[in-house]
Amino acid sequence: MPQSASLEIHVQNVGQGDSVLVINRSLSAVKTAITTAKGAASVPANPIDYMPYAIKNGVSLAGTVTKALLVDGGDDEYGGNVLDYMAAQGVFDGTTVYRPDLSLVVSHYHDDHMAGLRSVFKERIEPKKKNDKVMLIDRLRPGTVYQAMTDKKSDPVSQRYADFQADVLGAMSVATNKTVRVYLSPGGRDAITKQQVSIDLGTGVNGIPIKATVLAAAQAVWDKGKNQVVAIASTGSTVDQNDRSVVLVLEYGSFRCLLGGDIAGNGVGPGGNFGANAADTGTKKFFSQHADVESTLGPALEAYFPKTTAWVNGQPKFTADGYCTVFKANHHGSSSSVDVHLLATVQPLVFVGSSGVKARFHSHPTQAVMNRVTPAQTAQWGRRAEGTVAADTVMVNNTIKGIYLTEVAAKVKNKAFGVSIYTASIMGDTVIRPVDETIAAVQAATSPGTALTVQVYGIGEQTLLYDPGSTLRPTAALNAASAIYPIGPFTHSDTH
Amino acid sequence: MTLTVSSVNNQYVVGGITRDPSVTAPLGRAYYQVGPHLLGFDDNFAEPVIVRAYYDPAQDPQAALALARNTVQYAGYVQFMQLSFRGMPIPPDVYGGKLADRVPYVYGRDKKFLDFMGPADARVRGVLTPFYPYNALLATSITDNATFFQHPQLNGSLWSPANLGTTQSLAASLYGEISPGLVTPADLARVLTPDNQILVLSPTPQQLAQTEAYRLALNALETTPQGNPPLAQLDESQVAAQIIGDYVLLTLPDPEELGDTLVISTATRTDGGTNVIVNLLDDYEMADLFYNAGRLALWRIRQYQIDQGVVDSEDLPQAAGRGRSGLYTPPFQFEPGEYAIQLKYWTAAVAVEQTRQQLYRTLLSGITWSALFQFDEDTGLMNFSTIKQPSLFDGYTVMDGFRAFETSLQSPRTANALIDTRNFTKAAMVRDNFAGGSKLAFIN
Repeated sequence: MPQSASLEIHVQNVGQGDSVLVINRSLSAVKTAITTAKGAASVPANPIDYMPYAIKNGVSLAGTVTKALLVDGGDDEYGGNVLDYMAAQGVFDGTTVYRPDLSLVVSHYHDDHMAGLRSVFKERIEPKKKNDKVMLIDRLRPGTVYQAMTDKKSDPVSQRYADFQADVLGAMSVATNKTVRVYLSPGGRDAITKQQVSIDLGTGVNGIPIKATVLAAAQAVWDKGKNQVVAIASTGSTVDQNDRSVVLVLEYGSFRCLLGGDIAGNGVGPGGNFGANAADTGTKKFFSQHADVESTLGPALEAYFPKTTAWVNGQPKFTADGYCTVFKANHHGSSSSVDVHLLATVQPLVFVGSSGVKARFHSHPTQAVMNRVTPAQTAQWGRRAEGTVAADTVMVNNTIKGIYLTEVAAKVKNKAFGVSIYTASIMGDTVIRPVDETIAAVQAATSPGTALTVQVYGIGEQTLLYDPGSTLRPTAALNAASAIYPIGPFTHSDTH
Repeated sequence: MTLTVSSVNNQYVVGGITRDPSVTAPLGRAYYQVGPHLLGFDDNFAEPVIVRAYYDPAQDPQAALALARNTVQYAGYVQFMQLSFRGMPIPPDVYGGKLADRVPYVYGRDKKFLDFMGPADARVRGVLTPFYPYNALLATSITDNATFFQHPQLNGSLWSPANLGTTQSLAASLYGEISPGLVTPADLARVLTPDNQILVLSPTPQQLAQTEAYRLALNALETTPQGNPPLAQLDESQVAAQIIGDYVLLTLPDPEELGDTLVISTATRTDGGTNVIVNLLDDYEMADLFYNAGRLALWRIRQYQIDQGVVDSEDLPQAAGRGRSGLYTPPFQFEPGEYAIQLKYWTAAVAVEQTRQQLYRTLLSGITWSALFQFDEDTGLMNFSTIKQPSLFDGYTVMDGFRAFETSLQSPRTANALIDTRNFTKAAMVRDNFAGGSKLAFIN
């Protein structure tokens, strides 16, 4: 049976950083592009293969993107890679500066998420002759930029933040085709309209909406169950930008993807992490500890995304409160993030992490997180305390069927990085696509038990490191050079 | 008397520095002996590295010859520097950071410059010969030259052939900093705000006289509040330390290398007392300061090369591989282990001699040595990693440097120029041996 995939989630390999490109693509437009470039006979039989075929065969995907959302841009050194990737995927055609169909979210103001976004806005023009200076000229203006609102207390002091803000302001200040900036107030509300922010990414199969909802921002979580914005207290007197991360849930029918920036959980017992699942707090000092956002986010996810009680045709279906099909590792798999209690809420099918060595190595992913997500290590997750039910007395099965990482260090500066990733696959750029037909089938179902399928494949390219004392682990097995998928594809299903 | 070297607690010390045999002077974690010179390096703090040089006239035939002339008044160290990128001399302001303000002393086509207080400070203090020990005038109330013949002094001592008592220094010495960091005190001041200030102490003058401010701060954070001090059981051997201007930076250990940095400074209160202030910068804020500074320095060098007509835009390396595509990706590619930048020193013992007709200066003996830098493309850090061992130099015209000094003091363009005095006044600061961070390597 032919399969198609309108929604694409590209977890780009930006080393130790994050950049996720979400694309809602017109497959009919891709088919037309292939037909025009290669002839009708070259069009793959299966629509899900159109996009990888086009990439493999150099068919331009310009004009095939209905809407796109870029969440973070990695560190500066990856900025050009992010832009090249957007160009290859048809999000940027190299000439059109203003892209109203592109939205941009900066999860928080750390260089490994924000600095690469400058390459989206600006192009560097090299000096040609004596006394010429480097110039930065406009490259691309997204339609909308979403970012946590700033205030004096929480504004980062970094130069990169100032530069990024200047870029956004510049894009907002042109005469026509201006970028619109949406400041997210605590909890993810539009700072002006006071409404919960939801980013419209068009529709997929059968007109099913695709959207990204902001559940947390600026150090607060919107808890629909309590009908209030729950502020997250800092652990110290200073503000940790990670705690202010924008948390998004991408929705497409019964498919969801949780993108939590660099938020942290508890890391140890109160977060449900015991034994080999617990963070090493031995040398960690008070100042280094992030606030626990996940413990507030979990109940908020469950309240905002309740499980289905009536199987009605035309509605998404979920068997657990707070479920998300894909869980992108918070804070690259830092030991204080991805608590067991949050996993017990999200019950993901696929876990994906972005980590590496460059620009700064942080020993991610950590062994504790790999232990928590790997079914053979943690077969069941304990739930948080609820009412009179004590924490970790109610257990849910580990639901993860696929674990994917962009790249992982083997050694750094001649010191081995020994974290076991168990059965996880190293993919380079990682593309995750829910299969349209299964989205439609679950939407149409009138009783439980319909499968939702997700396809995952990898590009494989890894960071070129300078220091011979630093190396990366090999990727998953590459396909033959003639294959349109460099790594995979792999498919995973759960039932709704 | 001849200088002797011994080891105390893994640190080398110099004996024979005065007529009292019990007196020793610090040398460092590593040292070289070249001719009549001892050159030691102390890297307890990653930056600045403290360099100490001792010139033993008793070991130098040139000194014997000069003494035979019966014209030597005194002798001391002067020091000159030169920055180069892949062998091309570059001015200090192109390199940038804490060396940028050395421009007033740059001379010659090879861009050498004097390592000394700024022209304005030198003029005010009536300095005629830029002996390195005179930098102590910036921080002390010394009013006569004779004081510099005694040991110890903040930036080293001068040597006199006369017998000036038990505490007279029997060697010429130099205590200085190798402080090539690209982050300046002004850069740091920009990111220190009331919002990231975590502690203010008001110690007594006696406490401050006995204990360095950073030590008071660390002690407080390790012990208070009682029961839950934020730095309880801190393993100080894992702390990495450096000094930028008046700021002491202590980076705390962390299993995920996300350790915060305490920035400790002092400020004068309205009542005349001194507060010790602690600000906290997280790993990302430190990275923004330090990791980008190396890339920006390389772009300044690139611009300088273009302006000098050495290269043009066609020479830019092609972007190669993932992770080398940013707005600030360096315009050069480096071989692993390549020492792209060299900070070369000429450390010279110079005598002031006097005849009936004139006062003049004579080079007795000098050594040249280098601080070598590696640029880590993976992190963007410009690392001062290595010391190239010293050798005796000849053929270097110290007198050109003196002429440049005199010109700088007289030229309206440079006479009022300032060089950050903190480059010279911290050499005597007591430093705990923080073992975190990188340590220097030494090569031939």
